[in-house]
Amino acid sequence: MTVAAGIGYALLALGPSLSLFISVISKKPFLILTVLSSTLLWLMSLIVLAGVWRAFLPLKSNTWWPFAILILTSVSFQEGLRILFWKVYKRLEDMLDAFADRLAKPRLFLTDKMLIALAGGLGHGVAHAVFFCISLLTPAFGPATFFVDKCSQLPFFLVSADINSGLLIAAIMALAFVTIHTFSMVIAFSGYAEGNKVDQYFVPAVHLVAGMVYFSIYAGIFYGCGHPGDGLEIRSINLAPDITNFVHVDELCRYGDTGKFCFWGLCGWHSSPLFHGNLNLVALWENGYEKIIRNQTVIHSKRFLLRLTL
Amino acid sequence: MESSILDSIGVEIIGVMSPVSICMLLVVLIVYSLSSSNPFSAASAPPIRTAANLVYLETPSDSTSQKFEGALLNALVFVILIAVVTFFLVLLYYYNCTGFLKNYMRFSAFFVLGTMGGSIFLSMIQHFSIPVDSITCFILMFNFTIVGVMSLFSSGIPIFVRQGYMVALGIFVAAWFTKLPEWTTWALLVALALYDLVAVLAPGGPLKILVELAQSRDEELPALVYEARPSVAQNGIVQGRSLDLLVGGVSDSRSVEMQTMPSNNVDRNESQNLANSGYTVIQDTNFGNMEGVQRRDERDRSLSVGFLNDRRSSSSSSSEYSTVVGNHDSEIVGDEERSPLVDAQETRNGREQMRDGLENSEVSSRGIKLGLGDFVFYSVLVGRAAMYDLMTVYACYLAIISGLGCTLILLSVWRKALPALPISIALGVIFYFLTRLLMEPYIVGTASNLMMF
Repeated sequence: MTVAAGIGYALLALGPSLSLFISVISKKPFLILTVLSSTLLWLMSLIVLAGVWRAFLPLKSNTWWPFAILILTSVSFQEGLRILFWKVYKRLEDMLDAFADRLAKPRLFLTDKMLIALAGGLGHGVAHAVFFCISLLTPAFGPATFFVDKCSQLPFFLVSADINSGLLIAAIMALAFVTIHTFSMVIAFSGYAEGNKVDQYFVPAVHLVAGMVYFSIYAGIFYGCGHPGDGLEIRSINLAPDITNFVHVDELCRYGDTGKFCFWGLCGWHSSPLFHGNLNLVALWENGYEKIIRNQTVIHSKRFLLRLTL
Repeated sequence: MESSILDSIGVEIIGVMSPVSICMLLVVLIVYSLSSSNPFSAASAPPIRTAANLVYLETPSDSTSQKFEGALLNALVFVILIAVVTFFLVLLYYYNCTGFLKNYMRFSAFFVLGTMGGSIFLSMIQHFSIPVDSITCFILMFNFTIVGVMSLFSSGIPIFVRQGYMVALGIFVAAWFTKLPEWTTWALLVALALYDLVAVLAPGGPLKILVELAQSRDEELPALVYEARPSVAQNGIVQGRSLDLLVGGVSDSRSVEMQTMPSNNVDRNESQNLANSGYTVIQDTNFGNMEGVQRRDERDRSLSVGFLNDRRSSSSSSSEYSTVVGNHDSEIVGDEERSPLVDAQETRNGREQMRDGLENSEVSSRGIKLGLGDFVFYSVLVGRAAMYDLMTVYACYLAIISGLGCTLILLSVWRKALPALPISIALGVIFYFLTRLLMEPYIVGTASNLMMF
């Protein structure tokens, strides 16, 4: 993949937010500050959540309920944060009104209030897209080459249509979430301001449903390398319990005269034809992951191993 | 339709934040494009020997404690070096060698633009295979450098050009600093933040001495300082106040609640002011013997207090205490009449700094000034984060920007030169490690399962 592809995916995810930012937000410095502070708030919420969940990660089980609990806690925490944001905003609004009185300017219009809510939501959405999607795209911006620690001279080239489609889906999902986050802030604020119960409960419900919907789609990439004849087994990185086939390693792509081979595949929606019927899978996850993360020189491989599990 | 209040708030904050953001963005792009260009040879690049790692040359195979001690030593030596050079420059300034200082700044700008910038341009040209012959390249570089040097201390150059060159200088130095090994970079950043704190705030700190010296001489020092675009003259006061609003909003938001209970107004003013600043200043403001106060820093403080009072009194719009309010207003008028003087003096608070030293920021009627060193070390932090991941870059960027915002808010509270590094660097370092250690496994664990929320 090239820089063009990476930019393409990034724009797919963030394009609408970018145009919103340029056309509406950037004209008013105060809104830029609002975007920044709401992004920071979201980031801090994520750090807190991560700190709480750190002990339980990685969730390796094949059952679904730990993930459901994770999403439930995360969503409820963030919704709680939204109420906090609303309280801060109320205070700010009073202050702005007082300031406007002093300068003999009109108080905040309804559109101004909505703009502030929009900016707050945009901050949330952009932070979401950056952390969940753009960071997945990191290898796409690079030379599209990465290395696995075990076979460091053996580059993988990210040219697969499978991976592209995975990134595409990630980008589209990010776009959907940016939209949800951006406008649910506006809806929630208007709900709070008017005391409209439907709007107030609508927003967390949408958030939770969106998280749960995507929860049901999962997929993983698996890969490995070694010497021909080794019965290398891998398990896919995430939940894909049905991929327990066996593959004859000699039939995989031979790489030059190094005597090494590589293979990879996607499960979920695109299972690679390579794996149909013959793949023996054991956890390369445990073998490959820790080694690579400690080696600074193959950072790209770490990114790939962890991130391109789409 | 009348322009809403949102249009005018935060202009000067954005005016400082946007160049910092541009600088950081470009440094990140440079780091990305140059460091990841060839993964085969990335590890084989020889470590550079600079002033920042004089003592200890880090190699990836060293043990952790070895790296840690070496990095601390490096940082210590570098900070001592900077302190010595700063004191030397202060000494030069004390003996009125302004011409020498100006020419030294010009020379160092020439050096940075020519060599560091040149080497970055060359590696860009190599990396992107830009077809350009050496003569053209030399002429372009020479022109670029000369215009940059000329723009520094001459008045004929548009301020846009000067700002651009300031950002360029910051980018070059920062991109060069990112070549330092990892542990040394972190130790250096923390040490510089601490040094900045001491040098600007502690009595006897070199930068503090320099600022006071410049104030007493009423001159603008030759220094590499980014100056936010000066606002339109008649907007100056209004915008200055809008910064105060943000300050007031953060520092005592209880003033909003006060308007619902206007009784006991004076006492509240006093008690709230007491929380903010010295008691004598409140006395001055309330009883109108401003003239008795001669020392300017107190006047500055009372100026800000006056603004706070102004806001507070106008928000408590009840007529019950009209005399008190009127008293306040007359005082405010007095303050505003005096404010050009104060601002003019503040404008002359030029600050000295070393070529890549640490600077402070300050408010003046011409806009906020931010030292070049702040640009450099913010960008170094972000550039170092860029070598790990995009997530850490974003987290560090947000942390630095919010730290800068906090510094600006403190600036308008205290109205004196403040170090811009400590808060931002502290937040940036904390967020970097939190992101790297805590958040990454979490995000990866969820996002790799396509779980988003």
